[in-house]
Amino acid sequence: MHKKNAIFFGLSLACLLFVGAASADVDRQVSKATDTAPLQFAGLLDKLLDPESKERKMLSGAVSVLGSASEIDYKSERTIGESLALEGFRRYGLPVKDKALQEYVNLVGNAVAKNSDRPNIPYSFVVVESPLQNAFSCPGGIIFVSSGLLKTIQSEDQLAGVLAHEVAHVGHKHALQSIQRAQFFNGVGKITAATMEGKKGKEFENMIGGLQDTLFDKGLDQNMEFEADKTALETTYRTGYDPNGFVDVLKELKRIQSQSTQKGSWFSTHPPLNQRIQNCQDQLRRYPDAKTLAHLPDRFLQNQKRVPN
Amino acid sequence: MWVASENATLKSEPKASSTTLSSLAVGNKVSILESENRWYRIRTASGEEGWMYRGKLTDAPPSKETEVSDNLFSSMQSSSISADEAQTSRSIRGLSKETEQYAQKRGTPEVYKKALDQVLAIRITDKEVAVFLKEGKIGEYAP
Repeated sequence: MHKKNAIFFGLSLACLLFVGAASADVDRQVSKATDTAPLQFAGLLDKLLDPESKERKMLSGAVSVLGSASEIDYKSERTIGESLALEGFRRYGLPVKDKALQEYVNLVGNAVAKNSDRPNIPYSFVVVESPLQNAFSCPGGIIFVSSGLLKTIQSEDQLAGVLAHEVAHVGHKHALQSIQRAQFFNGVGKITAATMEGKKGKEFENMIGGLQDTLFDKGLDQNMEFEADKTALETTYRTGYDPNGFVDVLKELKRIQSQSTQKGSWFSTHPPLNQRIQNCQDQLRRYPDAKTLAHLPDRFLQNQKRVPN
Repeated sequence: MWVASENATLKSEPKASSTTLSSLAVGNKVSILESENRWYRIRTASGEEGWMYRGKLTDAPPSKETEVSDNLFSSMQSSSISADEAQTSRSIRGLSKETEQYAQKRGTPEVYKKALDQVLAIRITDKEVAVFLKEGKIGEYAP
């Protein structure tokens, strides 16, 4: 019998569209200027670079409205992440009761996080007891990995790659981008005790519900997955692990998937592993000495023994 | 190149066991003078010279905050944003008051709150990471 395989590695596209719209606006202004005269173009750039100019204020004002949710302060981001983490335990299971195992995963995770795109926030990693092949990250840096996935992984460089992928989602703020248009953020830029009450409190709950839907069920936007894969390879390489380890995990998941009898929603909602593997292999050409870096199967397997069956 | 990692130390020689000359913060711009194995000899903006492991450096300004951000001019503000963020994150301990409110409204069982508290209580120090990398002969500790 095959277990249902579920791997959740990322999120949606909402903000990418926003970014596109904002830059298109700038492009239009710039191209209009170039159409009329090159000197005016230079003049507009000067004005835009002057923080006191009308043009600059106008532009940055417009853009900051669009970007409000992805620019929320860290404390608010953390509250969203903690709330989601509580739901994560409810959905997937409680932490494996083994301090040494949890510390080991936190050491690998923190080692890669220090070389990530966002090295200056605290990261926490937790192994939860679940047979599903699963890893996901909550905004602010709380990262879940299932005992099922730890059983599939075979060496420390592989684990480093998976954790670096989740750290990359946090760094790119993929989850936050997916809730940028949530009702909750209508008129709210910061989460406080007051915004957790009444109508806003209900909207906050709805927003966390939507986030669970995206992270736990629908799956993630494939461009975000590709972006997190790419960043994960770079982060593991910079830390000193062989980035091929991450691709090995994807290949193993593909093998398990092909044996699975439950070809349900997972396959229709997640980016095809073939494409992810191919993209990673293209990126790996940037690291000619990758295979000479650390693999550490023994240290990993010693710790894997602690994972309950 | 720019310093892009936490715990980026400038060394007297291209090996981790050599003397630490100083620590460089993320975002510092440096020039490369020469390279040896996986190490670069660099010069900082203030003129200090020494060796740094290649993984601590990137060839793009390390400000994902700004790349993800929709603000066209956020690169100008990135250093202050990062500083605020770092300061806030250091002061965070356990579940936030707002998360507690959420849990109360949702009727979240105590066991999940306790689980999250325990997860957040695990703190890995820079020194522990360094020892871990050294034992595994990883990165700058590779032979």
